[in-house]
Order: sequence, then C-alpha cells, then structure tokens
Amino acid sequence: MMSDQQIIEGCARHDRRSQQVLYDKYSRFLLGVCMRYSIDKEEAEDILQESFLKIYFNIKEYSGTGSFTGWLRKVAVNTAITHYHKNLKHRYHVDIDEYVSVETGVTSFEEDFFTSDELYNVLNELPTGYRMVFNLYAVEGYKHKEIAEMLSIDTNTSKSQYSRAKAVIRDKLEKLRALRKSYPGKG
Amino acid sequence: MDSEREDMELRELFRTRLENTGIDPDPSVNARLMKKLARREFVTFNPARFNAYYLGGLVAAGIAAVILLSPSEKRVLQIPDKSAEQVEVLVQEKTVVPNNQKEEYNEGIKSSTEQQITSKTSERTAGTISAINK
Repeated sequence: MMSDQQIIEGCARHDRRSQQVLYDKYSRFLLGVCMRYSIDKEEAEDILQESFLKIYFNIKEYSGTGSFTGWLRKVAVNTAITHYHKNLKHRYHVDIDEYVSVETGVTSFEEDFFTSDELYNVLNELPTGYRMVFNLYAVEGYKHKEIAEMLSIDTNTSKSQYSRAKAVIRDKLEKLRALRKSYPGKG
Repeated sequence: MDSEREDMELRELFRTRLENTGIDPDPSVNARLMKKLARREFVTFNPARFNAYYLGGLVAAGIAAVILLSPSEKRVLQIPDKSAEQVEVLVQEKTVVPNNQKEEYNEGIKSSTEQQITSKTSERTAGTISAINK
C-alpha cells in the first residue's frame, strides 16, 4: 500500500503505477466533488477526467502545506469552474422566475434526514449559475467577493444568485419532506 | 436572526452530507483517462520517456542521413594535358558513319582536333612571349 508521499513522488516522475494508485484511491471522493457542480453523472465524469489530468501534470505544485485531499478538491473545483466558463455560451439560460414557485418563508431542516442522493438531485436541478454559487458559498466556504472573482461576476450578483438558489432548494426540500410524510415507508 | 439560522442549517445540511461523499465512477472512465494521459504525455517533453520530440528528432536525423549518403553525379570531365594545360574536350554530336568509312572519318576528326590544340597552344605561347617582351 503506497503512502500519499510515495504516490506524489511517483506521479511527479510520471510513473504509471503511481498514477493508477492515485486514481483508485481518490476518484470516488473527487467524483463526489464534481457531481455537485454538474447536471448529471456524465458531465461530472468529464470534469473528473480533466481534474486528474491537471493533477498528474501539476502535482509538483503541491507544496506539502495543507492536506493533500484539500489540494485535490481545490483542483477539482477549479476544473469545474473552467468547465462552467467554457460551456457558458452553450447553455440554455432559464429565467429564475420559472423556478421560484412558492415563498416558503423560514424553514428549519435541522431534524430532517435527506440522503446524499436526494441532495445531489436537488443541486443538479438548479440552474448552472446558481448551483456554482451555492456550492462555492455553502459547501466550499468561499466568500461572495472570492466567488465573484472566480466566476467573473459582480459580488451583488453572487449574493442574489445564492439567495435565489436557497429559495429553490428550500422549495424542493419542502416538497421532498411533504412526500415523505405522505409515504412514510419510502426513502 | 431566524433567517440567518435557517441559512446556517441549510449550509450545514449540504456540507455534512456532501462534503466527503463519494460516488463510484463508471469503469470506462479509468480507461479513457489513461488513454488521454498517454496522448498528453507523448506531446510533452520528458527526458525519461519517449515522446513526440524524440520522434521528431529521429525523423530529422533519418532525412539528414538519406540526403548525406545519396551519391551525386558529375557531368564535366577535366582531362589534364601532357604539357599541364587544360584541354576542353568538346562533346561532339553523334554522327552515324557507315563501317567502311569509319577509318577515314576518325582520321579526319583526329587531325582537326590536333589542329585546334596546336592553334590554341600557339596563341597562348604568343601571348606569353608578348607579355614577357612588354
């Protein structure tokens, strides 16, 4: 069993065995990251491949400070953002008003149990821009100013997109909760 | 305040559920990735691995070797004269001569060539003498 240090040194030498071990060890985790930024698994796998190629060719840039997993995650997120920019002009832009159907007000989800699959589905159904902002703010922990720079948008745009994304997510989770109450055996 | 609490709960929900969740990729992803990796490594210079730069060098070396080793043909022959003077042998046009007239023909060619050499040698000697006298 190779340690992370051995894997990093091997990948820096473009050793195929080390590259394969790296993929086997971290592909599952990184696909989970990519899935949050994609509309479906196919797109997530494309981003995953590009992420690994960047990792293999830039692994020498990992200085050793901070966790290796954190560095891998950062590469995957940056790759997802690059993918977003590349496909921006090809995407069909849907008006947010089509999505915000119900004003649910303040809702608590503290005691609810939603599976990761359900949460992935909720994210995948968001408009792409809102999904990007929500992930970067709520999950990755970036500030709106940083998100605005990464996505080449205005800070206020980032804040409004996050707010609207939350409204859509709240709406979908409410419907999931109502469905679960109607059919307690399912889920 | 409630709105902030709700916002924090939503963020916590997604962060705890999804931050470290893994998904198994399709087995074909690995194969496609390794093919892409091999292609990209081939066009990237790496002294430890055979790549496109080495291939280009081999092709260039092969072409250079072919050019250098191919024989070249010389069409102008220089025959040194006994008196160390260069005589240009003029290539005569081919004349078809019947067999019974070949000896006469060759004698004719020989005498006319000797006359040319003699006249050229005289001219040069005259030129040399006149240059000395000056």
